[in-house]
Amino acid sequence: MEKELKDLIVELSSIMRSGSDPLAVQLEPRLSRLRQLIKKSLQFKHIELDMEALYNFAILVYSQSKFLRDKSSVLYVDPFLIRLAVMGSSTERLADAFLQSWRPSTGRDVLSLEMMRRSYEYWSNLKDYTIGAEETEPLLGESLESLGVTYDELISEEMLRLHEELQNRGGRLLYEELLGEGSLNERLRRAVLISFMLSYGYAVVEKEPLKRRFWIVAKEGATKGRPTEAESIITIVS
Amino acid sequence: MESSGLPAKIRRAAQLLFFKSHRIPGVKGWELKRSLGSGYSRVMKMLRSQIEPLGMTIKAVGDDGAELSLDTPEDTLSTARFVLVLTDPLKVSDAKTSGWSIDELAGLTICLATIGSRGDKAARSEVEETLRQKFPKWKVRNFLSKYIKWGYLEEEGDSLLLGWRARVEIDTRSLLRYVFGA
Repeated sequence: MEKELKDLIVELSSIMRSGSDPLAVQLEPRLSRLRQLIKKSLQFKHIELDMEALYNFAILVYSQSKFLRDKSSVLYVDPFLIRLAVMGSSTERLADAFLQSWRPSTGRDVLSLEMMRRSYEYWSNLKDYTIGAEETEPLLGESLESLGVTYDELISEEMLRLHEELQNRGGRLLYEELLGEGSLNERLRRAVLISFMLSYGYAVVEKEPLKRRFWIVAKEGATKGRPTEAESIITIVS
Repeated sequence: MESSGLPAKIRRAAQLLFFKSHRIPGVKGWELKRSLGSGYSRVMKMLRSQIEPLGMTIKAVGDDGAELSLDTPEDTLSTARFVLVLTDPLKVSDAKTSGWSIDELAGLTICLATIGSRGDKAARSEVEETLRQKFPKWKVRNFLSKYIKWGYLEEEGDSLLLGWRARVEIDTRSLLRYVFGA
């Protein structure tokens, strides 16, 4: 009996949550069932569940009443007609409909004492993050040359080797995979080479925005020696 | 309320309304009463008359989302939220400057019209399906999470409802009228 009552409560509340047409629900058979269950036991826990089921019935009846009221009002708009109107309108016209009925609220964010206290707590609780001295040393030198990379190298052997590596590894790799797991110095060097490889059209980037992933895809027949400026190097895949 | 303190109270009311101190903009009636004392609705009306020439007004919105007149008794206004809103519609270029894209505006129109036509509550699947008529799937998910984050929509189980911001900023009836006229 307890299970039956609980099932009934779950069923009624799920109907309410779904937002579906409340008039499509057949109340009479469910109410008859509840009436029978109420007669079966006078235990407190069962009466408690009876009350909860009745409460859900009351909410459902209220929704039916509200639905009828809305539907009978002169302002009622059939959802099907809305869908038709949406399908028949351009995005520009829909945007214009919004702008005509939108009166945005205004205001300025202001830094309060409470916000300052919260930000102090946040920064105070952050873990220390430092890069080891030997890893930071090369960064203090003269830009790319400090990494042991010269411009000539970038557009010739090194970049071609990386392009070949990418092709040998299936022609499509995640950016992080191509970057490798070497030292910071090595990864920086490969990052620079990848960016030149992309600029010179030896590869393209495929972006997966939902998964926040970037794929580097090797490209055949690249324009060697000069960047492919006119062409977008990023494509988005769903 | 003494007339001598009125200009100071109007300045204080402007501070409370202009500067956002909560996640949701605006100030509750009881907060105004605590800061300005009884008769705060009169201060609000005077402030309104000063800011209206600048294209802004003060809107009092009840818990149920209905707009209340500033002449309503203060007991009733105590739980209402007072918000500053613009009085004139924005142009597409203004909205773009504020960071909105045409697709985002159109997507929100579709959501609000669908939910409005269902009595302010609609199944999420239905809203998604209607949006899919115009936008790819990944964009639909992206839009819905943005609208919920910005307060235009609210989630309740598998349903979507009008959020506090939609109730304050958007005249749903006129939106539906414009959608049919669009």
